[in-house]
Amino acid sequence: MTDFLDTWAKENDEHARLIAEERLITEVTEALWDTMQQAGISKSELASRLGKSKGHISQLFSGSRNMTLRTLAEICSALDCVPSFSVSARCAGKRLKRLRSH
Amino acid sequence: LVSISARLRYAERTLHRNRPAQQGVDKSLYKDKLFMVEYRGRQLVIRYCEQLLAGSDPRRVPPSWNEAIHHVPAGKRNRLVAQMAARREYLANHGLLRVPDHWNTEGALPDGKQFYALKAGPLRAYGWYSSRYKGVFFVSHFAFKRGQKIAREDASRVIRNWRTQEEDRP
Repeated sequence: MTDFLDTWAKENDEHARLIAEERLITEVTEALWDTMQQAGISKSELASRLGKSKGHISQLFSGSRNMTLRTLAEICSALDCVPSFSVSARCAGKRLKRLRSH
Repeated sequence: LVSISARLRYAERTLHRNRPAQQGVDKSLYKDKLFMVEYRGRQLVIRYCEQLLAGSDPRRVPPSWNEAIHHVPAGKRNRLVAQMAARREYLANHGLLRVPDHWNTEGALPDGKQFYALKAGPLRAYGWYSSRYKGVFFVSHFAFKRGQKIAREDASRVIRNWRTQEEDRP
């Protein structure tokens, strides 16, 4: 089952690409926020560690400003953590199931 | 023979002309009925209150979504739809969001629990975690937010929908 937003995503490649971008931004920012909360670090504190304004950090977290890989590395360094990254096929599970059924 | 083949061609053309019209209606209604139902993630099912209204046209997206998105400038529309889609997917897969730009606690429900806003720029999806249906997050409605605080009519609408879903249904 799916909803109207999923239908929108499947309408064309442009929509699918936009969702892929927003999905990654959401996942990265949520993970960073979680790390900040666990470490008790506020936006202002992160901003001062990076030498940026609080507004700059807010824009990164809202997705209105593009976060480059360099910025991500800087944030992780400021939070004293290491990002982990992997790329996998979206339907790997389904493919495996199909292979097993054969 | 010429006459028979001409008749056959005519019959074929007539059939071809009639077929898409009949199939078109049925297929689209069927397809759209499916996509209006709900969105299932690993942790939660996102269910829309508006789609549950009996007698509504199954081809339409939730009316409040149409109304909210209408206020967004055309150039920004696709980006915000994608943001909303990605964030509701995250909510469905992880059970909650933490970044204040993505998610906010908006107010109290009659049972003392809270209702929330899933945010994408100025767009909001107001909803709550159902106590009645385990693992369901109800989206009451969508709105285009103008002020700092939630509009009174939006808060009332959430509570009305909450009562319908959590109290009134047998």
